[in-house]
Amino acid sequence: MTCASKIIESGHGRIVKAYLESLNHKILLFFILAGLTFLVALYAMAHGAYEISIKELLLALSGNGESAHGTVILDIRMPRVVSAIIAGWGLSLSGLCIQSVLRNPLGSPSTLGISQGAAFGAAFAIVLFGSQVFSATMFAFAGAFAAGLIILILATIKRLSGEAIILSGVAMASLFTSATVLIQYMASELELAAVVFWTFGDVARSNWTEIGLMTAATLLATVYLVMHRWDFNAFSAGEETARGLGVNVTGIRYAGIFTVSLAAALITAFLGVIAFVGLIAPHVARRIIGDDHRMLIPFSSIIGALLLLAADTVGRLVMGSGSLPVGVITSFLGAPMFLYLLIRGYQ
Amino acid sequence: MKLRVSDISFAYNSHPILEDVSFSLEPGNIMCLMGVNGAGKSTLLKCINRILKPKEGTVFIGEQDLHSMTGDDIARKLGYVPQRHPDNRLNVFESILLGRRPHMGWKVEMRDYELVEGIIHEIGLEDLAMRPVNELSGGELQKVVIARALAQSPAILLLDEPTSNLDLKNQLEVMGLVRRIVRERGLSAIVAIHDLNIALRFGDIFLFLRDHRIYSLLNRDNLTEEIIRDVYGVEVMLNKVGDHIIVVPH
Repeated sequence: MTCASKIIESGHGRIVKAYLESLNHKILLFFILAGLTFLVALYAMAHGAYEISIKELLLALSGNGESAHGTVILDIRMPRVVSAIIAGWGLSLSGLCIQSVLRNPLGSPSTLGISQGAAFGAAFAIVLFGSQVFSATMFAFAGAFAAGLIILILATIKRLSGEAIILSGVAMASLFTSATVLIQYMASELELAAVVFWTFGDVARSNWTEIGLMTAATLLATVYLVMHRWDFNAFSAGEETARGLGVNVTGIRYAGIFTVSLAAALITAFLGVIAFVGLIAPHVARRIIGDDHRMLIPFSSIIGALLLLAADTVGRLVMGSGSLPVGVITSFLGAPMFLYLLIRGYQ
Repeated sequence: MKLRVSDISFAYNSHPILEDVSFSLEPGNIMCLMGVNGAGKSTLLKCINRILKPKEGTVFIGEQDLHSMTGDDIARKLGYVPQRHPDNRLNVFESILLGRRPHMGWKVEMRDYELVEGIIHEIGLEDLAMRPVNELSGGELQKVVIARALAQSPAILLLDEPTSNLDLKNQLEVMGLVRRIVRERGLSAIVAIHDLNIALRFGDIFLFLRDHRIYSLLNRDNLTEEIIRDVYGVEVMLNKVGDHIIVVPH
């Protein structure tokens, strides 16, 4: 900042100063949102069928509390809270990346058929091998990742535009959905119930190993996006401008979709279909801080995490039984929220 | 730096767009690239900075062959402004800062910020600096995208129809800005442009494309009514009004 103050003293640098101040405000806002997420996480871990005070919670987290508290928190509530945060973060970044590289506001893991691919894979495994969790997860991952790969292969062979990629994603999504319906039609009642239950995305499903895998994939996607943040900004300014600025448009597009497909496929395979977070969180972030991906990447991540955690906590505490899957809530909240954003944006 | 375009040919599938286009351009000059719609003006600009790979031929900047340069290298020499700019919510400062991308390491340096501010003052965008570009008028946006190309610190500007969609005042302002930048910074510019009168007012050299080839390459004094008729298929008169040559269709 000494350099900044030097320019400002020389009478020049008024605009740089204003710009750096606006950046600092955004950074501050990010930390406020991160703090808020942390508070919601603490709240979520303390409340539920078994009430724990914040003091007892902190004791348990530091490993000094009563063992009963420790069991509830570390084995039940904390995995759920951490899953929600990681899944919200990962899905939101997937949506952000797809929206940015395809220059299409509809981009998200569901518009590329990733979620539907996962649902198909799970349904296939459940009907074929019975409802063992392991095979359902493996096949869901295979289905989801295959959806992403098929789109990328099509795009490479036929040199598809961003728009055509989204459209082929929609086609793939619809193909996977019909295939899933066909499997459901042929399934027994018990299998049908398992298939339908699987598709309700639920953050209470995963264990620490699975959370570790989701975190690794999400971190990989985050690192990729952060490394290419200026390339993503160039995409915002238009594909031709990006090329003119030396960006390898096709390479970043494919590598980006590949990386986030991996994260979204893993998250969906472990947790089921969680709709709308990947679509909405990046839009909320854009509304707040604009298209600068240096800020958009952290903001989308934290807003996605906060949204999913809040939705799950509300579902768990307000809806009573404690077992309402968060996918149902995000679908319910997601649609009106998206319409609200659109109506406000296009007035 | 001198730009030399050598025997550029380009085809979409087997449909030829450009054949054997060669010319060179000295610093300090504005070359107007002219021809009917579909004559290959935009294609030529994109071939020059290798957004499109020409089928044959090559481009030299100074002594350097573009063929052997990376995308970032090219972006440090050539500032390209395409015809269309999709809506986005980068603000004006960020949009111009984006032009520093080919020069940037991991972090934005203070000198990048300073350079952007310098350009903002040079072009007179002070009052717009924090505005999102999707709230700008056409003329303002055109100045911002030219500012971004300048932030690349290029030797050569490639502008694809910078005045289409602008009103008369903004056409004069934008082209006046281009001329001032080219003269003051000793750059050269290639401008694809439709408006003959604006071109004649601001251009130094005129390259007319017809049937995929260079039909004529000349300066203002050598322009004739016949050339315009042959290129555009329209009979015109060239009249001198004050210092300006005016093209009037019959």
